[in-house]
Amino acid sequence: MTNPARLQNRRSFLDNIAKVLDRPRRTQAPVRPAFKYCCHQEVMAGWSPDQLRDRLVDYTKNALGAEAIVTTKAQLSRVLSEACHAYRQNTLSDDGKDVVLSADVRLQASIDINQLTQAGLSLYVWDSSLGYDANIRVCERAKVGVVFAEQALAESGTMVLYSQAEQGRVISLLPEASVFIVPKSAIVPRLTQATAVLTEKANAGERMPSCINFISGPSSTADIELIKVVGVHGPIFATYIILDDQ
Amino acid sequence: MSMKTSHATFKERIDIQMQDDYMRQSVANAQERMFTNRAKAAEALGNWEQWREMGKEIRQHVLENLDYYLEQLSDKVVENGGNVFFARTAEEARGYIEGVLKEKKAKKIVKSKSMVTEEIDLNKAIIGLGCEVIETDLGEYILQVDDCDPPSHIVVPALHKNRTQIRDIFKEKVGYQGTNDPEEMTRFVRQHIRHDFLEADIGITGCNFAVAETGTVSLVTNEGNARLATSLPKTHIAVMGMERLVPTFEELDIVVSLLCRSAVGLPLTGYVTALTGPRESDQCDGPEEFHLVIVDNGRSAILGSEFKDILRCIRCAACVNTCPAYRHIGGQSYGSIYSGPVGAVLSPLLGGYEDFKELPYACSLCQSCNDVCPVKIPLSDLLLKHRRVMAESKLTPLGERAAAGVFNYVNARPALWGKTVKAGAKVANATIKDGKMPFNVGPLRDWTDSRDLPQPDGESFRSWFKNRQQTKVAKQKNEAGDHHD
Repeated sequence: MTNPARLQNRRSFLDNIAKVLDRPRRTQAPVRPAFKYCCHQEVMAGWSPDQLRDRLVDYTKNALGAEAIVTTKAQLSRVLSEACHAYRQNTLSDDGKDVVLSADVRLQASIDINQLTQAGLSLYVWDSSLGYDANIRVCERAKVGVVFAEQALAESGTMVLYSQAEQGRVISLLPEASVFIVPKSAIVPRLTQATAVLTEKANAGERMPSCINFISGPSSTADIELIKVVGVHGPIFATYIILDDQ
Repeated sequence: MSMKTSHATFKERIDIQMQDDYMRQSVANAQERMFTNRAKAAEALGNWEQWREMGKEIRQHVLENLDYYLEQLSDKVVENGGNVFFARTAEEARGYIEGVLKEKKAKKIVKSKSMVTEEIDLNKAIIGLGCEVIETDLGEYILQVDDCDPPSHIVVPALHKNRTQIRDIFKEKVGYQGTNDPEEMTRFVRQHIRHDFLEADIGITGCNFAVAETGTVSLVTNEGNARLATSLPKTHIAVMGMERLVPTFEELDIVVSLLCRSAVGLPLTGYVTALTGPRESDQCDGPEEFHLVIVDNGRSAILGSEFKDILRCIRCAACVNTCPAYRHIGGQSYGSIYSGPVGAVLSPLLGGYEDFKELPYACSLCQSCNDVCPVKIPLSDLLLKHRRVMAESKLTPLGERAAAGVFNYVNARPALWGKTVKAGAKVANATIKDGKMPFNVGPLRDWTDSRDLPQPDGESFRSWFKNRQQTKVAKQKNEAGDHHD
């Protein structure tokens, strides 16, 4: 039973729509017509994981102005620490923590925190139990945010993130640089395969994560004379680290 | 900004805009680039016609079942912990949002780019409550800082300004000290308004497409401002035109792909964000409270009319980027927040013929807009329909109707027609000297302002054609005779 105070003016609004459509209110789910074509499923169909990885790396470097590094689990902590160090020198301000790490269990299981600390980085691991203010304060001043992606889309150089208690929205938003870690096995051709996962969740009756982001490179704009400027309100730099897990 | 952006007449607006050489050059260049990028992106994807057909069918299906999908969407939003308000009019939408602002004792509001909030003139209402509202999309920010200059393009609102003009605006209004380098100015805005996101009580966004099945609102953006506006403030209000939804994430895939390629020529924009209700209780960032305002404001009247195809629109501006009329007169000439072919169809429907009766004539019927529209809206046909509706309801100028009446009368009587065109040819021959007439009225003046009239030869087309045929036949006979000899 829905709370009427949270749902206002609905009946008259929808009755009016039925009226202009010249038919009674439609209250039963209409049959969704099957797509006439399957061109969206044909994009990169049958590509091997290596081909998808190469396409992702290529598009990211050439079209998005972002970095893409392929590495192994054994090398990940070293590669991550080098990427963070590079941004430490590049970024605009020099106070605050260096790196905010997502507390995502897959990320934490893949890296060696000691190795990063020994490399001279000051780290903060996202902790939602500390509340909004504490986490925002650190993220706002940090130089790098490190997150773990659910999927990567080869066609558009896109990282798919679901908000979760261990991985807040702002880790990939407030720091000047974003580092995304994604397993090679999670690279899919395009948005079609990512929305298919979400449709499956919906069919299984799951609530969608409150914030799902499809992120393609650093933030950008072309609002002044259509000249592309990388780095507006979101991150200015982005690196994708692809874990060769196959 | 409401729908209507100017009190000047259409002709006055055009006269002003046509003097602006920078604007005209920049619009021409921008059109060229955006048109090429779109064409390349469509080509790269392959099967573009199939994609368009799917886009059209999805949007059509939603419109035919709109009441069902809006019910499903709103049920789902409430189930996820959000609030939904159905607003029949702009006043109702503003009233509800004002209520939320008051209840939250809001002082500062950050907004990301949203056409529907412009349409309902929301900023004025927010300022009227004594609140501060910051447009955070770079293009919208430039316009807001420049005393709310009207937008000239639905995707790139400050397209009509060059970097030096923007530097001067920033220098005068927000104390900018740097050069006219776009990157330097962009970084300045980043630093300058970052604190606003952190301090804001409420974030207001539009909605590119809602997903009915899951109660999700999606935003297609590039700058990161919409993400900040929906991650930091405690309350998020999303405002959507009632037709902007799809049944499930499967359809979202198709329409978002069409939108990104058509609008900016990319497979996806920098950020596609799908937001479902307020944050979950175990998360610590994201809004605690979520409101979805679903706006009719004239759309249901369109849905029940011969113009309903325009409601398929996904606001990509591909039609704007190919339109020769837009190229010449620029976006502000339309006097509406919606410019180009989509604006010429939509503005009279949402804002009335009284204010926008000239727009359906800002079209050469070249049909290029029909060809690029990712959801196959027959835009130029709809513009013709507008002209017919206005003529039938006597909304066209009296002189024009009188002229058409005389034409119809004469044209229906062959003898009279013959006499009239012969007389006309003689009059034209006697009066046109060096491509000009001694008297210039109405459309004739507009023509002779920039072009010369042809020098007539005192003959009507029909008599010229008849003579020509006779001469030709005579000549052929002669030639045939020659052969016999």
